[in-house]
Amino acid sequence: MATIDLVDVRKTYPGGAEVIHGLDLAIADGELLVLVGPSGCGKSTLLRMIAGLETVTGGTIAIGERPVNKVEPADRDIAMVFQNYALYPHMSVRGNLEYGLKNRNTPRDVIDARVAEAAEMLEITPFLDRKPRQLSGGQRQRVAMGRALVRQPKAFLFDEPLSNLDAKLRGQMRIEIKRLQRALKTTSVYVTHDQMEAMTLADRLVVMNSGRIEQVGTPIELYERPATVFVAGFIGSPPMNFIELGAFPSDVQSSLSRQATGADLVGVRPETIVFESPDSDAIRLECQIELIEPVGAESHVHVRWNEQRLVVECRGHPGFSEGQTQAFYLNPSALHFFDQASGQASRAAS
Amino acid sequence: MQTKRTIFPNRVLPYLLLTPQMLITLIFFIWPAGQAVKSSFEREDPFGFKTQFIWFQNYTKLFADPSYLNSVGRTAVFAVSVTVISMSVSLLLAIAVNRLLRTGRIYTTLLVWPYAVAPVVAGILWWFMFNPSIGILPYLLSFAGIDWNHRVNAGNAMTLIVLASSWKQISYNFLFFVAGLQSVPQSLSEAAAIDGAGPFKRFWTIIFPLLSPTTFFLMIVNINYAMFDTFGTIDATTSGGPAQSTNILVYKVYSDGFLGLNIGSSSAQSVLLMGIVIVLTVIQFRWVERRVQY
Ligand SMILES: Nc1ncnc2c1ncn2[C@@H]1O[C@H](COP(=O)(O)OP(=O)(O)OP(=O)(O)O)[C@@H](O)[C@H]1O
Ligand SMILES: [Mg+2]
Repeated sequence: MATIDLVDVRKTYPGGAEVIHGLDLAIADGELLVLVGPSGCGKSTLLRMIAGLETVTGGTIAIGERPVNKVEPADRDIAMVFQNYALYPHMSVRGNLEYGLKNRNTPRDVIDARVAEAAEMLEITPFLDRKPRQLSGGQRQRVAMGRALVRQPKAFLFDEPLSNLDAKLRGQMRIEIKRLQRALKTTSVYVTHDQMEAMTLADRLVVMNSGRIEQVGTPIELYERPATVFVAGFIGSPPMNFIELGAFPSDVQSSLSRQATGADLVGVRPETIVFESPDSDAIRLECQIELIEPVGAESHVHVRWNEQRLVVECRGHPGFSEGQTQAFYLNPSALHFFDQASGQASRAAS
Repeated sequence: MQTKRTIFPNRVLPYLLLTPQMLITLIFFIWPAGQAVKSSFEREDPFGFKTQFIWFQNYTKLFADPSYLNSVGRTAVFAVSVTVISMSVSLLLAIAVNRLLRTGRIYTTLLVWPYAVAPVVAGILWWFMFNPSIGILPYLLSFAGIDWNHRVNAGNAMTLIVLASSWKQISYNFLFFVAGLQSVPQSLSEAAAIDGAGPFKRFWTIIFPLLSPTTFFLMIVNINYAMFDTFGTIDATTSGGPAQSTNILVYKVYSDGFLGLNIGSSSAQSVLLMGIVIVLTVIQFRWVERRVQY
């Protein structure tokens, strides 16, 4: 149990440019915080700095209010789950689980109890005497989790732990990780580039972009009130549509400008676009349907409005045919407004 | 193991292509080996006029000969020392280079040079350095109160051939160890570091066990090397002396046969050595086939 505090943290790799640019973040005790962002934005680097596997070149990292910049990974009392699991191939599953406890001179009976408990929790008891190579990917993943659990550390660090699993197993393990984290109430930092995983797991979500934090908040906050164009485009699937304000007819332009002064970019979530005519102030777009992707319960309809490509998410199968013309409606109160130059969201003028 | 299959349209061609290799093997390996086996059962008079078939007498005499048993002992000491020294030094060097891979290239190149040096040249090099009258090392050692003379001191002589032979083999071991170390994923070390293991513990509990296939392979290769490939080094430094103290088995085959002209005994000795090579090779192949098993 511990808080993790990052103050003005910077990282420059030897002989490289700065990849983390003065980052501040306070992680609350018992929280599951998810770091998400595109490849190469510095998520792993940040996590590895918290773990002590990379040096911190600026600022401070504190775990449980103790600055740990100069503390060895072993003495930070954290556990990490690696993307490739990093199980010790020459040790049995039991050996893998015990290793960290043995190194800390834990008494034998405590080791046995903890291993049994963790194995029970993760349902790996039958495999305790196998070697990692005799396990499936999902089972290995559980062992990697178990190795972190038995230590009962102050914090868990996960670096894309599910990315080597197939979609179905990933869904299961995601739920399991959330359940375990809820039960243990251990502060956790979870890195992923899968925004679905990020949304479903996170107590709070941190969206990173090229070494900076774009926005921090609960998944719903980030979805409903994205602070930047980047976050708006990153969170949500299919991603938000962006339309330049100037593309709308002048009467619509002036009414939209009244909603958010100074904005020149309008964001529309695909799921807020409808095709049945709603109440009177909806904005009507006459579109050409280009492509329909049925995805089970909903369909993603790719349309063209003037020169603009848009994606519309419709419930069920609306029975359009590709090439047909169809009117769609935007609800003005569900729109997002941004300033293109700064990339920031414009505050509503109401 | 995967092999590539080629289908030849002509039935004779594959045999033709194999012929030169087969001929070389026959003329330079099989035939002399057969000769050695044959003459190990014979006694020949010193002038080569008469030979007599005497069954296993050459062998029984060997095992009753204190100088042969002495040579077996010397060989064991020599082979174990060379293997241990050259392997541990090269492992240390490999670990050092593995830590600084960027600059490691230069060191690697430097460290590989000794392998390209011919055994005799290596022998002469060390013989010079340790030469009691003109060498630099005996001069330096004299300040430490050590009176170095491998021409009269058996211990000095053994030390010299062990050093010279180990030095030459370090490069080879080093290359294998570097490759082995690089195939151990970095994340295992990191996981162990988080699991509370210090650098030494990480090495002995994670890296060294994962390196064991390489270590075993090298051990066999090094024993083989020390027992058979060091002839040139010994010939150029001590020539088996003083007083038989560095007369290891492979050198004794030569000194008994060509200098002592006892072809029967020399042949019996070489047949025994051949047996050892075969055993070591079989062990090695057996192991290499299943070496990825941790
Ligand atoms: N050891 C290193 N030396 C130099 N630069 C590095 C090193 N490791 C990472 N980088 C650089 O730092 C940046 C951030 O890398 P990092 O691995 O943290 O990205 P990431 O967000 O985890 O990406 P991904 O989602 O692909 O794992 C990248 O531009 C990368 O090239
Ligand atoms: Mg990463």
